[in-house]
Amino acid sequence: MRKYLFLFLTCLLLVALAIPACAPKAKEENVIKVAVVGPMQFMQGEHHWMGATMAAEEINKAGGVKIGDKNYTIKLVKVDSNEILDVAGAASAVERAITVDKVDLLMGGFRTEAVFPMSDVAMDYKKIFLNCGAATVALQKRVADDYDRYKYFFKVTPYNEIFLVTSDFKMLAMVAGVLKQELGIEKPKVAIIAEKLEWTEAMVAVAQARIPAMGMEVVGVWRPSDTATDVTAELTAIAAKEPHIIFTTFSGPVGVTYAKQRGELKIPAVSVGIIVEGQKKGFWEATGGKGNYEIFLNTYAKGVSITEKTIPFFDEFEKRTGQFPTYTAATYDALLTAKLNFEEAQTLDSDVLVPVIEKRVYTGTAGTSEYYPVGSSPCPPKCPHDLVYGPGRLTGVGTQWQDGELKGVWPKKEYGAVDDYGDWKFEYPGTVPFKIAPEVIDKFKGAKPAEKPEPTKPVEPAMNEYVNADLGFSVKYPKDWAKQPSETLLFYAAAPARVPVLFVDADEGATFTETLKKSLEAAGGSGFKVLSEKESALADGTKASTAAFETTLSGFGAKGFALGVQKDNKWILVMVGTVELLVPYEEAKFSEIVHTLQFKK
Amino acid sequence: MIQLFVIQTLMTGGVYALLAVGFSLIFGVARMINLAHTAFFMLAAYGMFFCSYQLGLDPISSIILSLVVTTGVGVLSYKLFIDRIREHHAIVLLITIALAMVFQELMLLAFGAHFREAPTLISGFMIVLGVRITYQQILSLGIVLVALLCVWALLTKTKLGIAIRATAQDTEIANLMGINVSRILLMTMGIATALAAVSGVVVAPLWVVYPYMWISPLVMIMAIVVLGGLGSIRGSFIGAFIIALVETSVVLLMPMGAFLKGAFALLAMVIILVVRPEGLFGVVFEEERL
Repeated sequence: MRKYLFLFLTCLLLVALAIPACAPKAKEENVIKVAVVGPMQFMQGEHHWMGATMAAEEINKAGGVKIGDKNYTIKLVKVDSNEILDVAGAASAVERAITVDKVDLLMGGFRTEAVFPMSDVAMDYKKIFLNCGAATVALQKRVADDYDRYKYFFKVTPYNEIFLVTSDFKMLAMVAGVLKQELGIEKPKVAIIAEKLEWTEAMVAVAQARIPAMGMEVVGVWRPSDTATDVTAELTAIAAKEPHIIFTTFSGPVGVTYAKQRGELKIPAVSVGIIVEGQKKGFWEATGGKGNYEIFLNTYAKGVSITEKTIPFFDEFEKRTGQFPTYTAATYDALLTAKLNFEEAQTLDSDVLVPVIEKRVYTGTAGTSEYYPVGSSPCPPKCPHDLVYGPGRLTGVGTQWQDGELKGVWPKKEYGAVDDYGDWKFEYPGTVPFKIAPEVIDKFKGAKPAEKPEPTKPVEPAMNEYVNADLGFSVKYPKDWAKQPSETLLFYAAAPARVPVLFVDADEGATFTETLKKSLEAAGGSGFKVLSEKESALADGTKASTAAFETTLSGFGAKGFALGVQKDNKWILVMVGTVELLVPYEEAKFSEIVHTLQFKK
Repeated sequence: MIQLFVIQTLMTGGVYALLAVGFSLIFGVARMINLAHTAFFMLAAYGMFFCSYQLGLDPISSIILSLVVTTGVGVLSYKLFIDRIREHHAIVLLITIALAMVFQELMLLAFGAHFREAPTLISGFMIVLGVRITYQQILSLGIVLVALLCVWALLTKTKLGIAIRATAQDTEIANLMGINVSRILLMTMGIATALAAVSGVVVAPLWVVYPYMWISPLVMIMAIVVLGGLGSIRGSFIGAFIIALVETSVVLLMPMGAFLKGAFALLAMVIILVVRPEGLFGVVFEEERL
């Protein structure tokens, strides 16, 4: 009996303790509650919190947020999502912040897998969620796909992964340019090393396709685990290939291991790419200084003035925490922008705030942020509520560890070019030239310029052939393109980098473009748009129609070239398309492929 | 290419052997699968970091202090949590994995989830037959050989060693012969933990120190120990180099699949176990465990 009594009393005590903790808190007067959501035991969460704290102090010191005739104080609520270790628990933490702490706004998030459910909870309650950490464009694409539900979801940092790849290649091009100029290396050899994670798959495939197109040679690809504790085997194998450049893609702890062991072994190659761990001040200590000369993409660099706000913010952050701010510290900008939005909307109502945020152009610590508008195309990468990429907006910076200091080395005006996003021939004040490690100079100094090969007769590329016996036609396509499964198309093949792709189809339709649209939509495409259309002819003189078009396929904005021939009430369609950000659109080449269509006599 | 295989296998195998021998020793004597073994390795690595960078001690003092403290923690853990339930193997497994996680969380609390570095004893590298090897790797290979010699000498040439082997063969008979089994087991735990700690201070400078660094080597040394034959020190030593050879081969022959090196190593273990279930040098009958 005593045992049951004890058990009962214990339960009673637990319930008594739990009730106050779970009970909804009364709404405080003249206070705006902001949930800062992140893995608080980890650097990413620490930086979320510190950035928001700095902004909250600044706002409150200046009198708070003025709505009507009242001044509201910002009160931050620390929400430990623990998302690095426990994705499932992250959504519960957000729900608690909304229902128990009664927060008015949420900001933060880091790991894509956790930001999906966390933002879903926020959308259920129609709360604004400012994504300050997850790059994945699929998150923002939801806004385009279901605006009514996801209109409360905005990106603050970083720009999406497609732009990340774009910047990565720009940095690689700069390194190749410097090697050519300084060491006379005409055709650098590149070793690709990337952790084996989903987000790096497309990057590796694209790197294999793009690097040769950039005038470099790929000598091999190494894929260690993201948590590998030892990569000396990979490094010694890489050293044996004698590359001039090692192109890195690391987000996990293996980035530190790699940099430390590469430095210890003094592998004579310039290391450039993505090493997320390299952005931390502790990287220098973690590698014992062996991470010297590592070059990687970043959001901030010490002493680099992206805007007039960058250096004061960077220095204050470093003073308070002893660390360099990483991209999740942009909660600072998120909160300062939120103040402007609250004051302009004169309310905390999410539905009123959405159009105000959509129009906001704000110069913060990492550049000027502006959102792609609703209906922007192609999405991805230009999805609504995602950040506009390019000079004058957000570019990121390339940084290099130089003798214990993290310096900004990219963008660099002499290695910039003009592209769809703007003119990259510029640099931020404080940017310095990147340094080549002494062992690289020693190894390649005086390297003879690569001998120009004797001009030879162009060799016809090897081609595969798709033959459709039923309809009596065939199409040739490059030999290294592999056949892919398709439920709607007659035939589908893709290059090793996943793009370009070849679609072959046959369907009934009134016009060529109508049938083309129908076929692409059946294959999962959307947002079809004809850019140009003209008449053409096959090699045997058969009349044909051609069109350049844009569409969205598998979530990516694609551009392609199509050819159609009408036979027995059916249009035989041959299309070659690409995702331009990954592999450029080459109309002449695509046209050549579609014109290989041949009918049996 | 061949020299790359040989040298890389020797370097990686040396590190694994050092870790596996301690694990094997405590299993051979106490029949105890100590899942906290690599957690002691992690503690010693943190000890090196803390003594060198936070207390500012010189590397030798840092090593000695780390070894002593880690061994002490190992012995204390055994006395407090394992000794009384050591006959219940499943519970020992649970308790040791729980201990490892407690150590991990304590390091997380004390040092955060940041990556740290333990100081390198000898910095730099040399080129042997065209292959770059760090001095620290050579040192670790030297230390593993010395440590194994010491273990061999201890077990074969000293009274304590005879007592340990007797306990390993038959605890009850050893007890009847007047050996204080509890004390022997405690001392064996101390030796095994010290070996893990030696690995920690020697290997940590080659790797990166962080609270989760114990997980990956634990899987690998379990594979090595099972492959070599549970409880066989000689088997663990040879198993370490077999696993290292498999890993090196995967990286060198299929670089795009370098992340699979662990999986291939485990596959090699499975294949050997299918052919020889007791492992390479497994003790089917109660033979001498050496």
